[in-house]
This record gives sequence, C-alpha cells and structure tokens, in this order.
Amino acid sequence: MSLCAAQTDAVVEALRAHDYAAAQQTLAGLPAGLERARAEVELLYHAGDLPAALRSGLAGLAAHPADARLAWRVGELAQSLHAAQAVERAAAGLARALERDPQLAPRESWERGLVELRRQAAALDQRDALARRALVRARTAVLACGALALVLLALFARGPRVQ
Amino acid sequence: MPNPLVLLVAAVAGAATMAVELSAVRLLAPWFGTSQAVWTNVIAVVLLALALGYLLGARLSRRAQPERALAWVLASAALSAALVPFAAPPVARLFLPEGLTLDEAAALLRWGSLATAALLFLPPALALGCVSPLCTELVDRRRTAGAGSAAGRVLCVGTLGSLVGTFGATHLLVPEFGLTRSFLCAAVALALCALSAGWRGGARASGASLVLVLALVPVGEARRPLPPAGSELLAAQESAYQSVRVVRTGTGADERRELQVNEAFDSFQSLWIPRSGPLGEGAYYDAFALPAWWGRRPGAWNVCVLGLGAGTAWRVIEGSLPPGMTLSAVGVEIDPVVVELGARWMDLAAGPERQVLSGWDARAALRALERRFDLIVLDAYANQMEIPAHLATREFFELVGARLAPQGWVLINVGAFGLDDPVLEALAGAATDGLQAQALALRVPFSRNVVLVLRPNGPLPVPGPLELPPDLGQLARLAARWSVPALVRRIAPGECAAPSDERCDIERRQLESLARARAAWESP
Repeated sequence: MSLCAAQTDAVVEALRAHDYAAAQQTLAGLPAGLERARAEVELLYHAGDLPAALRSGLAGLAAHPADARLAWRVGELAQSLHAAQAVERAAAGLARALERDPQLAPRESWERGLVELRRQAAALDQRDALARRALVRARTAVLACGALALVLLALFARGPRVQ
Repeated sequence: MPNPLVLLVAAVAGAATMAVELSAVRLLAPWFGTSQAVWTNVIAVVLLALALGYLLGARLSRRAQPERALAWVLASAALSAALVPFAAPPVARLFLPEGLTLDEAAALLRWGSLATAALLFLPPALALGCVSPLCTELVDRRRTAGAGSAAGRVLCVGTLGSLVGTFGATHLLVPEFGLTRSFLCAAVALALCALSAGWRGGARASGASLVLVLALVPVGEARRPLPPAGSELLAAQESAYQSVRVVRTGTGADERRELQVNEAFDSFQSLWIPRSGPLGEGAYYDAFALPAWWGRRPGAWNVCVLGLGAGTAWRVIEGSLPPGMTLSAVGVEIDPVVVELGARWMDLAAGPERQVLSGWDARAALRALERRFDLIVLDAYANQMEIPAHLATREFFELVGARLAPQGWVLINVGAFGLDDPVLEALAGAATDGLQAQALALRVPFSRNVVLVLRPNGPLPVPGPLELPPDLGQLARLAARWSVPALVRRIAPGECAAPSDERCDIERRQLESLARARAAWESP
C-alpha cells in the first residue's frame, strides 16, 4: 500500500470517528490525484452532503475512469439521489476497472456490485422513462382539451341566422 | 317554471360551481400539492369551462322549451360532479405515476395538474356555465321586465349562491363531510334542481340523474393514496386547509409517528418518537436545539415556533436544553386540525409555559404577540413546494426582528437542493435584508434541507464541534459535520435579491430550483 492510500484510509477512519477536523487536515496534505479524489468524496459522503459528494465523485471518475472504489461510491451516491445517468457512468467505470485489472480483488464481490449497479441504472432509467411518458401524456391531454375548447368556442359562438 | 324556482336553480348552480372549484384543489392535493401553480391551473380550467358553458347555454336558450335544456344540463352537471372524486385517483396517476421523487416529478406538477384538472373539471363546470343563460332566458320570457333586468336578477342570485358555496365548502362541507361527500352534496343539490326543472319541462329522464347520484352516496369515500407499506394509519381528517393523517411505523422504542399533509411525496410535516430530544440523522429539527448551546445562559429560554405542526420542534428543543435552562414556548399553527391530531397522537400539550396559537397565521400572530423571544423558528414552508409568499419577504423578517430579544436567534428551515439553490437565496435575501444581519446557511446532512441561522444583535457561531453531554451525541455529530466547509455558506445583507411584499417571485424560484436539481445529474 502506498503512503497516499494509507492516508486515504486515515481520512476514512477519522470520518468514522466523526473527527472531521482531522479528516480535513489529512486531506489537505494529500497531493492531487486518485487518492485525493477518493478522500474528497469520502469526506463529503460522511459529512452528509450527498449531492456535493456525487459532483466530486463524478469529477474524480472523469479524471480516473477505471477506479473501482471511486466508481462504486459514485454508484451508491447516484442511486440514493436517483441520478440514472450517474449510475450508468459508475457502472461503466467499474466495468472498465474489472476489465483492466484481472487481479482486482475480491473479484466476485466487484462483479456482483457491477450487476447490481447495472440493475439499478436500468430501474432508474425506467423511472425516468415513466416520468417522460407521463409528461407527454399530460401535455397531449392539455393540448387536446385546449383544441377542443377552441372548436367548441367557434361552434357555440355562431349566432342564429336572422330571418 | 315560476321565476322564484328559476332563481333558486341559478343560486344552487352558483353555489355548486364554487364548491366544486374550491374542493377541486383539495382533491388534487395528494398528488400535486396546493401550490399557487395548482390553484392557477384549476381556476383557469373552471373559467374556460364556464366561458364555453355560457355560449352553449345561450344556444340552448333559443329552443322552444328551455326548461328541458336546463334539466339536462343540471343532470349532466350533477352526474359529472358526483363522478369527479372517484375518477380523480386514476386520472391523477395517469399524469403523475406513483413513487417518483420531488425532483423527478417537477415538470409533472404543472402539466399533470393542468391535465388532470382539465379532464376532471371541464365537464361539470361547462354544464354549470350553461345554467345562467338558460335561467336568464326563462325569466326574460315571462316579460316582467327587459333582458337586462332578467340577466341582472339571475347574476345576482347566482353570485350570492357562489358566495354561500365558497364559505360552505371551506368551512362546512369539506371539514365536516370530507371531499367525496362534498362533491356528492353538490351533485345531489344539482340533481334535485334537474328533477324540478325536468318535471315542469317534460324531461322526466333527468330524474335518473338523481337516482344515479344517490346510488353513489353509499359507495362512500373515493380511494385516497394509501400510507406507505409497513405503516399503520392512526388517524385521518380533512381540515379547512388540507388532508391530514397520522401514520405509525415500528413499535416500542423504535416507534415513529408521522403527521403527513396531503400525503405529498416523501415528506412529513411532524415527527414523533417516544423520547424528546434530538431525532437523529437527516432531521432538520435537531438544528433548532443548537442555539441554546451556542448562546448558553441559565433561565427561561423563550422560543417561538412559527409553523408548530404537531409540536416536533418543541420536543426536540426541550429534550436538548442545557442544564439550568427551561423552555417557555409559543407555537403558531394555522391548521387547528393539525394541533388537534398533535395533541392526540404526538404529545402536543398546551400549558403554563406552552402557548399554542391554533388557527393563527404566522405573520398575524407575530404582529399580535407582545413578547420578545430568544429564538424564533420559522418552519412554515410546506412540502418544499408551498412557501406562503407573505412569509418570504423582507417586511416579514423586519417583523420577526421586532419580536427578538437582545442577542436573539432566528432559524429558518428551507427545502433546498444546495447552498446556491434559488429558493434558499431568495429567503436568505429577504431574511438578511429584513433583519440587517449576516446569515449562516447550514446544510442539514442526509436531507434536502438547509437551515438559515441569523442573529441580528450578536455574533454568529463558528460552525464546528460542540462539547455536549453523551446523551446528545446525535446533536454533537450534527454540529461536528458543519466543520466541513462544503456544508456552510455565509450570506451577507444585499448579497442575494430580497423578495418584498410588493414583489415576491418565490413560486418561480421554486420551479427553477426543481428544474435545476433535475438537470444537475443529466448534464454530461
């Protein structure tokens, strides 16, 4: 384990003990890179700012697209925030990590995680599609009612023929 | 038909129109809320339908027997009004599928409520619109006076009927009989009018409408959205403002009771657990307990909660007070039914040091109160979509400032998706301007709430760890989390635009907030 990885774990340990000051201090000492990206996400996740953690995680994933740990955390965050596209990106990141590193351990566990992420992404996609279809239905119904009202107005407004 | 009977029919139709219109918003509330956008949609649909009805009524009035036409439109109005509460759940679900979160449903709230209102309320309102021209024609044919006189008399009684319907629906029908029976009452009255007009006009088939409407009465209440799986419904009641229910999950020490209004989305208005004190992760109420520790001093801690609900804030504050401090509290709650259910199910009790202003609007109550408070909590923004505009302005916060004790605190709970949320900025602008003080915006961990903290005549706390007794560990963890800069924002007076009584765009900001929250994850 590199010195940086040990420091990331130290950040997580401090966060688990609710020592946010120590966690931030350790984080500040980390150089820019994968470990810092991971630690930033962990800090925001444990502090309870899930949207900020997801934003940070997605930025980290863009810079380190094949990191399993980061991808998994992004996936968790995205699921709880119902962010379908972010779950898909996390699943893609995890798949890349598994592809690039055949020794990634525990492999079975990561593979199960990937299946779960893909399942969640599909479920969230379905919810998005459900909402989109409902919106189309609503707009269509409103337009249809509006058109019907115009037709009726024109129809009813015609006066009787004067004899 | 004799003129008095025609005028009575016009009055009943006017009353039914308003009863349907006012109950309509309440009927849609479990799915779409009661925001100004929903009110606008319902009013727009009813106005369009009435306009169409007036024209259709004018055409029908040219017939040889307007009584027959009147009987038919009244029968149609009765039947369609009676069916509305039963048709509402499937129609609403068509445009707002179950299980979506607030941000997922954002766009559907406007379009869905408009579509649902159009399908449900166009038919009865259109039929009711036909009534006035037909009644005018019938009065005019008696040639007692001119057309203007006939129209004036019909419009007068129709409007008086609307007046009765307005008060009757809000203060009698809905609270006493519930929504379904309110629609059925209106339908029965219309069916009786149809029968009367039809009897004299030869359209005896209109009597069938009365039979059909009466057949719906024993069916009872239309299906309302059910409580979530695994929860037990303890009580449900209609108030003059909303549908209120109390649901329970868990047992023993894990028991949890939620008071929900309009069963909207995934939120609740009040929460009860067996012990007083902090509620734990994700509960914004816990933040209300911190000023007593930040500004610790012995003696009475005078607290005013605007939007008391069922008293959750009181229980959290009382169970978290530092030694030597006692709670002396005033709570303002606009809905007496919420207070009643709170007293029954959530230990909300008035007493010598607990004054409940039930049925009071927060702003009116603040103006009437003469006390000064160490802490004023504003928790009156419902469902994160319904912010009363008069509680979101600079002038309102000036009034809040006038009720604060020296070095007093103001805490505001805001539903927001982040520290740059448009709703949060609007409220922060109003509060910082009105109180002429800096605000500390603190994101509540694991929730979509932000608490604004202001202290006009004293220093604000430095967000971070607090020394607290072990039984307040949850509070200590909450305070510790705020040492993370991402969860904190300082907002100075003038930094954000402040809504005023003259110009308050809070509804637009709410829609912007929801749209922005959704778009945040969709961008690449």
